Amino acid sequence: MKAYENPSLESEKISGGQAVYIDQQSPFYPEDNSADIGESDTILDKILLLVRQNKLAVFSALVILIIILLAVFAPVVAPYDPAAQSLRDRLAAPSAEHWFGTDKLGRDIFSRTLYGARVSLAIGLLPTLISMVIGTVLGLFAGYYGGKTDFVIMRLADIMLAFPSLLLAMVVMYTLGGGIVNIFIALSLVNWASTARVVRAQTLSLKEAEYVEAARSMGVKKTTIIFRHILPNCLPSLIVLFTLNIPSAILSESSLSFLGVGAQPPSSSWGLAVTEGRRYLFSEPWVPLVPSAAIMILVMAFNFLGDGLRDVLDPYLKEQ
Amino acid sequence: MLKKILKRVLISIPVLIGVVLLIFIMLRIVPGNPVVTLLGEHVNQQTIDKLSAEMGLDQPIVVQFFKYIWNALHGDFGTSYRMNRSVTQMIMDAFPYTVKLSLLAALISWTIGVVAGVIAAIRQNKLLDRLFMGTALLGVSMPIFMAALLLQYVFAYKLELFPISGYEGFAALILPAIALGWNSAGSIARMTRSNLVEVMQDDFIRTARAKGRTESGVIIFHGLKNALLPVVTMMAIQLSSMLSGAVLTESVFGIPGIGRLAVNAIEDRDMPLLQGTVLFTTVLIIIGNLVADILYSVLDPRIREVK
Amino acid sequence: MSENVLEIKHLKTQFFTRKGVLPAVDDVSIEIPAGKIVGIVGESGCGKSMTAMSVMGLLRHPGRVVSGEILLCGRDITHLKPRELAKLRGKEMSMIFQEPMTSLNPVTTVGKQVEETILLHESCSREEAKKRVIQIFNEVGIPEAEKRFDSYPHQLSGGLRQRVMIAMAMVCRPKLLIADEPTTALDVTIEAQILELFKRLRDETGTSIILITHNMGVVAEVCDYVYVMYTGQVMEQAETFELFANTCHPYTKGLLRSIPKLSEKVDRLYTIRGVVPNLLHLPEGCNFCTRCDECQKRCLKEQPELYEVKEGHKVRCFLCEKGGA
Repeated sequence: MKAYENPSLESEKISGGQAVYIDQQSPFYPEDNSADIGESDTILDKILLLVRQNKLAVFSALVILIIILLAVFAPVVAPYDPAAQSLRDRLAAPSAEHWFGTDKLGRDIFSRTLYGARVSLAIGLLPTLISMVIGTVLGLFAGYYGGKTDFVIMRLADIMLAFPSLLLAMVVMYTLGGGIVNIFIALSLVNWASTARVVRAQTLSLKEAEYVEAARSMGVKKTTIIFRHILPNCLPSLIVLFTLNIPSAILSESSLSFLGVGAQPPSSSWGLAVTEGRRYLFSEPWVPLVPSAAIMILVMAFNFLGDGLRDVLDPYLKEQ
Repeated sequence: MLKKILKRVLISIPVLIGVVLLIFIMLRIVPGNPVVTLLGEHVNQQTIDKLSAEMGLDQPIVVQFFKYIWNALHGDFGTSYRMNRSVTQMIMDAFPYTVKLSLLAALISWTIGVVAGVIAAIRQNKLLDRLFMGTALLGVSMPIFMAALLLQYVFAYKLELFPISGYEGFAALILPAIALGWNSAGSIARMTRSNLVEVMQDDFIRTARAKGRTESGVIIFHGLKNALLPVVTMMAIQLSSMLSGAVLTESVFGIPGIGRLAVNAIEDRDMPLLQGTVLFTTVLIIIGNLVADILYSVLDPRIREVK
Repeated sequence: MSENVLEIKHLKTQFFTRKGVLPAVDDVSIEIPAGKIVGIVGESGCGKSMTAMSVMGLLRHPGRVVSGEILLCGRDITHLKPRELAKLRGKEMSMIFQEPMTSLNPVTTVGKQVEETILLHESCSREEAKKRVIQIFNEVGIPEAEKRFDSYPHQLSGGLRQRVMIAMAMVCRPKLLIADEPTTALDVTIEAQILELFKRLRDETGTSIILITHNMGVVAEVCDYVYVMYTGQVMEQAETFELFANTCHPYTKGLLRSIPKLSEKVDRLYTIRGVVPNLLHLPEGCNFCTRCDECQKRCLKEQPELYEVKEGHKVRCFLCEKGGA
């Protein structure tokens, strides 16, 4: 089967033998679109391919975009002030007035959910970005310099990865105390190790690539080689990793807040809203379930998008 | 082979030491004197010094560290600030609940994950595949506490099939275990499916067909054997993540396991208790990963050979 | 009639893809006499392997045998249920593949894999099966057979792995062995040894062998009879000696000319011009007309049939319509 999927390879092998044949196009498996995902395609081409092929990923991107817009324009969209209490309306059921009902202090859950999106998106994007920058730089240096640098960095990564990330984040939260800013710091510090591993592995193989050797032989500075020649080739993997790390950061924040060691009242964090509304699960189930569903939808959208991106950008990451 | 296992064990010792050191340091860079936190602001200096000496906090940090390690190796994780009980004893009381919960969750998620993954792979791109994989992604994306709350609402409250919370008896553990396992069932199903689909494209599968295996025989005896090898590692990792994910489930269902201890420790600012629970769990997880690694190399002859 | 182990009659295999129907095998008739080695040659994608896969019942979706008969020992196997067909595979007919590196299950010992074939088709004890595996290992020339029983595929060289594949295919003494490019991935010296092994097995067991190859040299060495295929059709068929001595079809001529010869000094090796046409867009007339050096007007419009130029020598070319080239 492989032979048909790889016609160019086969013809090469054959020309080394006795008869020379030309076989540029395999007549079988025309559905195989390996021709479409050629090596030379730019990231943009591949994303266009994704748009054509994976409707679910496109839909997810759209959902994310809408959530981002809603979060940014929350003050305009939200019908109520998220902090405005109205004890007369407390624990109201969903209605035309309060789309998702109200919580124990009579605050409008829809408005609070919109503002909560700001927290989750910020948590998803910023600490992930910071931790990935740390991980990428460490991975590049470990992979390129090897030796002691590599040993120290990777043992450190081993130690970080040995921790279950939620427990480690909890320890950091103990040290720093609760609050959103501290979650930022905790998540930035905790999640760099897996990125470092992936980048290191790619750097190791790219280091041997001919164009890198060529650059080296021409006396190009090491840091230039690392950031100009190796880093750009890690980008597809990094984009995929980024998209897939966002949802786990969002889940971490909501878990920490749910446990009461993350965001503190009166923050509009979704995880906090769930834990505050837990008591009303049986009498007013929308109070904890609306923010839960919001977390799930956002996380799922990022997961679908990340999956789609991985399929077109980086089939080798699949195993992870 | 034995040499390789030994080497693998030796490699994880520095990691273990690093883990202990990291937790130790992180918990001690907390601003403020823990004794003051413990006793409140309005206590005189004499009392503070006395208690500090009692808790060994007046000694240099290096001495504290080695003392802690020495005691930990003898099974002594110190004394809880708040409860005034031996941390080791508290962990040992809580541990059985977490173990029962995690093992049941693992069993549920492994079975469901592998079966769903195999069925999805066989019915590739058909309705059943889409359905299972959609559910799997839902499982991966749903926060554990949401699954727990939903299960509690539907099966315990509305249908009254299970107790709402509590920890006595098998029935009480079923919902928490499903909530905890739901998540990893999703990732195991996804991994099983993609591995099996990939393996079934391999040349040796064609060979198995050519020698007269029926399709189901090919999948079971040749496909699964290869596809499940990496899944085994995944399963072990999932078991570890359950040990820590149990924090959330235990909190929803009110199970007095290790996770609850850790959360209580943070709320009470009970440093020895937090240190003990985190260390205990992490060491368990490191051992778990070690076992998974060794298991994988025992199962895969290609890795077994490498010296 | 009963002399032929396998008779393929007007076989049509098609692939139903989104872009259209691919005629992978188009009206192919092949006879495999008992105890003979028959070669099928042609470029990649000309339908050789698909013919073999059709016989073995190993076609995968979206491929399907559309019409025609495949008679194994006089019995039509095209309409058998998958379970019945599986019983024949490995027992009555077996197949080995091009890639010995990847054709063996990496996580099972080679002994067990060969043993599996026996246990699938015959009721015998494990010890007995193991004995037979070691015996067949000896027969196919695997040194230290007993030790090799417990080896994993990655511990063996390519040549040895191909011998294991042959052992697996031959252990139940099938009447037909299909070898799909069995030596393409091997060194030339190993290739010669494997071809020798085929001849010896044929002589010792009377098994008929279909040898699929793109290599005319291999054909000349071992085959009794040759079919030349192009775009799913048989272009020329003849006994090996006749084919080389009296080549008729321009395609076969092209194949033969593109073998480098030590006796002649040429600047450039001859190649057949152009590329194999996409099976979705075959030319209207003769399938080979786009690349043929002797193409005439008629070739562009009409499809030639197989014309018999001599007994047992058929050619699909208008040049041979009147018999004789």
